[in-house]
Amino acid sequence: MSELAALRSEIRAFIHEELAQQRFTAHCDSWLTSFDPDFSARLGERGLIGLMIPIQFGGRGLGVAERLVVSEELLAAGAPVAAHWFAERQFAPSIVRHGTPSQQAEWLPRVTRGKAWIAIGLSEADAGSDLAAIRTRAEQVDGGWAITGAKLWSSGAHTAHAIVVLARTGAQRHEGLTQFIVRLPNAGVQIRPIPLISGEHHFNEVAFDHAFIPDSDVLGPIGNGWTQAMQELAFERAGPERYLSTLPLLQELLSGLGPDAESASELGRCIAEITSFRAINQRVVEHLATGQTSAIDIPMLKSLGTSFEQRTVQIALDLVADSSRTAPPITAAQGLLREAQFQSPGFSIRGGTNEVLRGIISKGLTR
Amino acid sequence: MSTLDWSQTPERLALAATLLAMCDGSDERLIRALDDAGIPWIGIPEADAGSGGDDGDLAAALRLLAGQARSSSLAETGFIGGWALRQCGHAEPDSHLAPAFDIGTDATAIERDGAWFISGHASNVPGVAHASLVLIPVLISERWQLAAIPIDQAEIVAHANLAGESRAELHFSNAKAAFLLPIASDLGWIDLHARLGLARAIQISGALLAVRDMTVQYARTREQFGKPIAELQAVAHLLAAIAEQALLAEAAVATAINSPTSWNCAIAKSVASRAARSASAAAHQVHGAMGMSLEYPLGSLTTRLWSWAEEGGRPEAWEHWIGQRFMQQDRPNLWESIVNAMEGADR
Repeated sequence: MSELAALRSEIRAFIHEELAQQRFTAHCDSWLTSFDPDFSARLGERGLIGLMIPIQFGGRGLGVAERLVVSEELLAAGAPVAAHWFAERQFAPSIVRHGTPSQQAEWLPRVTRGKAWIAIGLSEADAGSDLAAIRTRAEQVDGGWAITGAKLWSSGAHTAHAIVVLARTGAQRHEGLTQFIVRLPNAGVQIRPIPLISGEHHFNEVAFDHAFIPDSDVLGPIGNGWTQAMQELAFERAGPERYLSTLPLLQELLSGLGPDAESASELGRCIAEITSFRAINQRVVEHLATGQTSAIDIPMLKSLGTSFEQRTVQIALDLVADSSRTAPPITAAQGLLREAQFQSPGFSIRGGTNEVLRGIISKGLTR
Repeated sequence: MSTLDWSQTPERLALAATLLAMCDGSDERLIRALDDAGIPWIGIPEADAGSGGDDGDLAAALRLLAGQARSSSLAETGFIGGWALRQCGHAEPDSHLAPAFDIGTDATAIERDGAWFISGHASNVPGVAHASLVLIPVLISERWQLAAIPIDQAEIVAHANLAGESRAELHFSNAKAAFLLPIASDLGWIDLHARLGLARAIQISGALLAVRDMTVQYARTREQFGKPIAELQAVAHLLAAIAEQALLAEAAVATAINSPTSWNCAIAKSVASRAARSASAAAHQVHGAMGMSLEYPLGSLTTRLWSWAEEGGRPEAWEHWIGQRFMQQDRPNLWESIVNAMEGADR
């Protein structure tokens, strides 16, 4: 058995064990909405978080292909990974790359144990797609920095141990930006919920009023924040969460419907497309690791994948409508369908709207 | 400009340069040059008088010629027909082949005095214009066999697809087969059909790259409202959509070449065909009236894309086949099926 196959068996065995003990039920978009610190801790105990983190910091020191195997298996199962997801996906790579030795020693082992929950502080009220327009600023004070401003749409900030904030430390549009690790709670930070259309609470507004950050919590060089944030976005956009958000719904529907000629074509098309997204994803992450990625590959994958996810919601609505004419309603699938439909507008918004991505793609093509 | 690069090796780059040089003259000259260089017999070991190399090399050649909008019988003689003969244990470089593997083919065989006689018809058969043998699958005692019939034994109604490529309706009435071979026991008609589909998918992926580049180039240079139309956001998004579809088709095709099960061939054909439809529409929209002109090269690519999308199984047909095969499993698991199939398990 190849190492990748062995790793796939390992993560599947863990998931089966969790399911057998009824420790979780599958959810759509679980990396954003399914928060379960105990699950994250158990996953960490098995050494299945932060596979790319160097061994001396508690990781396995493996490559992107191995990380992709574990990520896609967790997402396909709809496992509750939201607690540690951002920390593992973008915070840890950034700490490995830009962190000080003491930041690495503090945070990386914590990430691998599933005990670091990190929120992302990028968007603001007047800086969404135009991210470089951010106005939250950090001023140098005795022993550190004071941050003032407000971040919007920070998923999980209300449970996070820290939020990574991109703030203005100079006037230049890109070079005047720096990243800070803001530990929570902080006397200068207020977190207010922004309920979603489903009524659920994942989003927050995070307000900073002269919040003090010691020098030791500056992430990377002053003025390097934009570069770092873009690197993190590449990790964020290049993952299977861009085409597997609704897989638990499709899986549930199929097991409920049984062989049916009418829905076979739609299902076959879904299988064909997911297969192709995986093929792109495998190649993209290989290139991401070796620095060969073209600027447009990742935006293309995300744009294709999120359009697919949104289409699957319509497919599911059709399948459920068809089946309810002939059979009792499929209740488990209907729950998954509700959450998928509530989340679906966000698929093509978060991490860069498809319109912004297509702008990046066409610029890359015509350059 | 750069995109994912699935298959470049020094050997392939050299092959590409050789092929490009052949594209100078007429289709007839191209076909002769391909023959002289032994390109149709890539995949047959040199020890068996073939040209060595593998499926991936042949696919790279097909992609390149498709991008040049050139017609040859490379797909028919090499990738489809030659492959089918190898599945019967027949690995000799042969004359040009016309594989009758599309839908609408129905033939029976009877044996008389040690020879086989074929009756029936075959629809939309490619390569007939240059072939000396037609390959047609026949079911004998519940086992698929491949009959090779000299082309002069067939009644031929020749036509052409939208791009002017040779296609024909063939009728056989007790046509004497040159030979008849049992196909590998785990293969049947659908696998031959899938091979035809994969060939067209590969050609689509090559043509899509050319359509993408041609359309980007046009949008960069064509000015309206005082600027290149590529700077208009609505046009820019069409360019992005074309590039996305080209990438998707390429990924599906690469998966099938790496692991050529009929399941993966079906996926490649369905994804590539849908990409062909949407990208050709977007490319014409960007080009405006210019793309409709015979003189402008876009049409020679999009007419191929339209035809190839329908040949070797329409996307709707393959999607239905994939879906049904999936649901016929004991306990269908969507994710595990996808992972296993990509790793080369039958599905």
